[in-house]
Amino acid sequence: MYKYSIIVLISFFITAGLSAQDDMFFERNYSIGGYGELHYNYVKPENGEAKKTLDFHRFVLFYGYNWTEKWSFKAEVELEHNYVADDHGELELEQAYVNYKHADWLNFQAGVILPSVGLINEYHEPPLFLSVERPEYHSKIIPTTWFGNGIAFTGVYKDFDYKLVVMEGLNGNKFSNSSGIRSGRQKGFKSNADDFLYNARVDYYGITGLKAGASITYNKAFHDVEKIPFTLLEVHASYYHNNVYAVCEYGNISYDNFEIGSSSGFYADLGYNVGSWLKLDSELIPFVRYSDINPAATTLTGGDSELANHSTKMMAGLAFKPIPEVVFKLDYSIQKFELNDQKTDLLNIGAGYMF
Amino acid sequence: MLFCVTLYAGMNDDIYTMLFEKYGESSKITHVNIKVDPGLKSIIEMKTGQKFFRDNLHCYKILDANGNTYTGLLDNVYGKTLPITFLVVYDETGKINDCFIVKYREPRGYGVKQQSWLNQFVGKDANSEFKVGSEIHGITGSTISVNSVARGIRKLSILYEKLKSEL
Repeated sequence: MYKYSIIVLISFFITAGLSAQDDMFFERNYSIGGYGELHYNYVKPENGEAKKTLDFHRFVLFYGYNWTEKWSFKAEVELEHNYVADDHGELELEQAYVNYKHADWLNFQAGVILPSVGLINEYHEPPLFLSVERPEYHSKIIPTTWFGNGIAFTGVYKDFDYKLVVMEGLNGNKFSNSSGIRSGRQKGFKSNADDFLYNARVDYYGITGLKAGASITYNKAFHDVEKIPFTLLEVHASYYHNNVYAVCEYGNISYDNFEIGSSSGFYADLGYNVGSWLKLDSELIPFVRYSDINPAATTLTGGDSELANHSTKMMAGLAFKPIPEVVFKLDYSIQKFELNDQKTDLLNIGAGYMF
Repeated sequence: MLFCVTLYAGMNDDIYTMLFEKYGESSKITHVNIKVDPGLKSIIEMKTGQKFFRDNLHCYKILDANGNTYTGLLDNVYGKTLPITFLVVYDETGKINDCFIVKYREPRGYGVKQQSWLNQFVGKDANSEFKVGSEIHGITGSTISVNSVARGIRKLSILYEKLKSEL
C-alpha cells in the first residue's frame, strides 16, 4: 500500500513539473506578514485574591516565498509571552511547509502544518475573533494552535472547501482531565511517528456570509502502557453579514483505554456592528458569548471527577476595529465550575493586529 | 491612451468565455490596453490606500445583442502572498454590472472567488463606500483577500468614472 502511495506521489510531482507554467501576472516574490496581541487579564475567584497580568501574549511573523505560480513556501514563527527561558514563554515554528498548487481543487502541503479542526486553529489572528483571549473551547476541547509535522491535501470544489491531513500523532501520556488532549501535542519536536493522526474537514460556503462545516480527527495516541485511540468530531459555523457576527462550535472527543471516556464542549457568539448605525468608518461590535466546556465529561470513576472540570461561562464584550486589520477589545465574564458552584470574575482588555 | 497588446492567451480565453457566457455568444468584445496617467493613478492610490498592480490595465469593450455597451477593466491585487486577477464590468452609467475573479493563486481563502460574495458589488459605483463589515461582508479566513479585492474594485470604479468618456 505504501509502495503504491509513493509511486502515485512521485508520478504526481513529475507531471506537476512538466505542466508548470507561469502566467503573465505572476512574479517570483517573497511576502511578509504577521500578527500580535497585548492582553490585560484580571481574574478574581469568588473566595480568593485577584490576579492581574499584562502580557504581550503573541508575536508572530509570517514569511512566504513563491518560486512559481504553483510552488511556494510558507512559514510562521511565534514568540509567546515575549520572553523565553526555562519554563517561561515559548518559541515555536507553527507552520513551515512547501505548497504545490495543482489546481483550485488540489493543493499539496508538506512540512509543519495545521490540522483543520474548528474555526480558529487555522485562522487565529486577533481581528478574526471577538474576545480578547481565544475562546476557552479552543484550549480545552480543540488544542489551538495545533500544529505538527505532516502532509495535507486541500482544495475547493464549487461551494465546498476541504482539507485532508496525515501528521504526527499525540502523546497520550500527557492527556489530562483538566485539558483533554491539549498537552499531548508533539509540536514537531522529533515527533514519535508510530501512529499517524488523520484529519478530514469539509466546509460549505454557498450562502452569503455563511461558513459551515465539520471535521473528524482520529489517532492512536502513543502511551507508555497502552495506546489511547481517540476520535474528535466537531461541527462549526460562522455568519458574518449585514453587520451580524454569529459563531457556534461544538466538539466531542471519545477515548478508549483511558480514564476519560469523553471530552465535550461548545460556545456561541452573537455580535452586531453598531458602527454602521453610528455612521462610523470603523466597526464597533458589542457581543455576548455563552460557553459550556467539560474536558472530562465522562470518566471511568464518575462522580466528582465528571464535575470538577465542567465550567460554564457567560461573557459580554466589545470589539472595536478602526481598520479591518487592527482591533481593540474588552470583555467581562463570569465563569462557574459545577463542582462546589465556584464562581470567577474575569476582565480582559486587549489590542491586536494582523498584516 | 489606448493601444492593443497581447494578453496571455490562456487567461484571455478564460475572460472571453466568461464574458460570452454572461453577455451572449453574439456579443462583440474588443480588447485594448489602457495606460493610466501617473497623476491620476497617484490620486486614486492615495484615496483608496492601494497601489495599481502595473501602469497598464486591460480593458474589454462589450456590445451585447440588444445594443447595450459595457466596459470591463482587468487588474490584480495582492492577497496574502500572490496576485489575484479580477475583472469588473461597468454599464454606461458607471455602475458595476458584474465582477469576476479570473485567477486566484493562493492555496487558501477561496471565499472571494464565490459569485455570491462578488455579487455584493453589483450596482455600486465610484461614490459607493465598499466598506467591509457593513456593505461588504467579510469571510472567515479570507480577511486580507476580502479587503484587498474590495479596495481593488473601488479603485477601478473611481478610475472608470474618470475615464469612461475616453474609453
